[in-house]
Amino acid sequence: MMSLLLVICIAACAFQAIRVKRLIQAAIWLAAASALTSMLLYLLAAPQAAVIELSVGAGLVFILFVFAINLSPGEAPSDRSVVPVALAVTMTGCLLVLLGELVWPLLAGPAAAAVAGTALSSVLWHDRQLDVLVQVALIFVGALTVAGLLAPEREASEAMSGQQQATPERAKPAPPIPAAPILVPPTPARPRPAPAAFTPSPAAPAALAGQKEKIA
Amino acid sequence: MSLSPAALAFSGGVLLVALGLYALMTSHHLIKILVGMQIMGKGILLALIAAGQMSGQVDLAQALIITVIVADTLVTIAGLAFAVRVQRQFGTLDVRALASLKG
Repeated sequence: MMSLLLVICIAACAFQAIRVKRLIQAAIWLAAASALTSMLLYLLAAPQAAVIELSVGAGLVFILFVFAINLSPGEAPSDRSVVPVALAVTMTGCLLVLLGELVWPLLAGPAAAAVAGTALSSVLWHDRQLDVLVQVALIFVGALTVAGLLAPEREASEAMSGQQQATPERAKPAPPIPAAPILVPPTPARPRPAPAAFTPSPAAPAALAGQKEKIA
Repeated sequence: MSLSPAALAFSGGVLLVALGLYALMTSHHLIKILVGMQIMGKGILLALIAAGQMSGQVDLAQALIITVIVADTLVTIAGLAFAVRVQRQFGTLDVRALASLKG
């Protein structure tokens, strides 16, 4: 049975994509799962969705993954899990049980007869016009997001390098601001060196007299 | 019991959503997290087309699937751009490096 084989292969590819350590292999397994998904969509009488899934899911997303992996070189993801693995397995099992309980009555039911007289183009462009508008808006938002995330980074790095060049000028005014609160407690200590300078050295009165002359 | 192809696709969709959730729960790596999200998205596609088959509205399901593919791909693209930015800024793709705002 073709669809059973496809479902098993998709699940195996997804499992491999999660399991493998190297990111490029994960991307390849994900693309394979996407291609098999598009085959299953085609078998389920959804050829337009299948071709879009194949070109976008297996093509564009895979290329973008490879691009991003190449931009962020060599670093194997760590083995340690965010939550304990036992908890993750338990939660996943709970999800499977709950979803399975919801889905199970549907699976045995007879397939409904196809509603005749609809075509994808009429559904998409007439019934689901708002969806098309939202897709266009989403594409613009996505383009703006990528531009905002990647392009200002260049300006920021230029500004950073400019700051680094200007650090001797800018770093000197900068420290007194954090240093001022630290200097506030020692201010009573400032007179302390002065008596120390007065008492031991006999030359201090002369200096004091000089200062007084300067003040006068 | 022999399941129809739509029922098989529905079960596969549930399985893929569970696998993607497991990947989201266990990975620290930004790109692996995006891989998990993609897997969940594929499970949702399968569930949608199976629901369309069962209710006899395949074309409505196709229209919804196209919307889901566009949205999912855009989320992935934004996530990858975010990952590249994080890599440049922090030198790593580990999400624990983003905990510097943690109070």
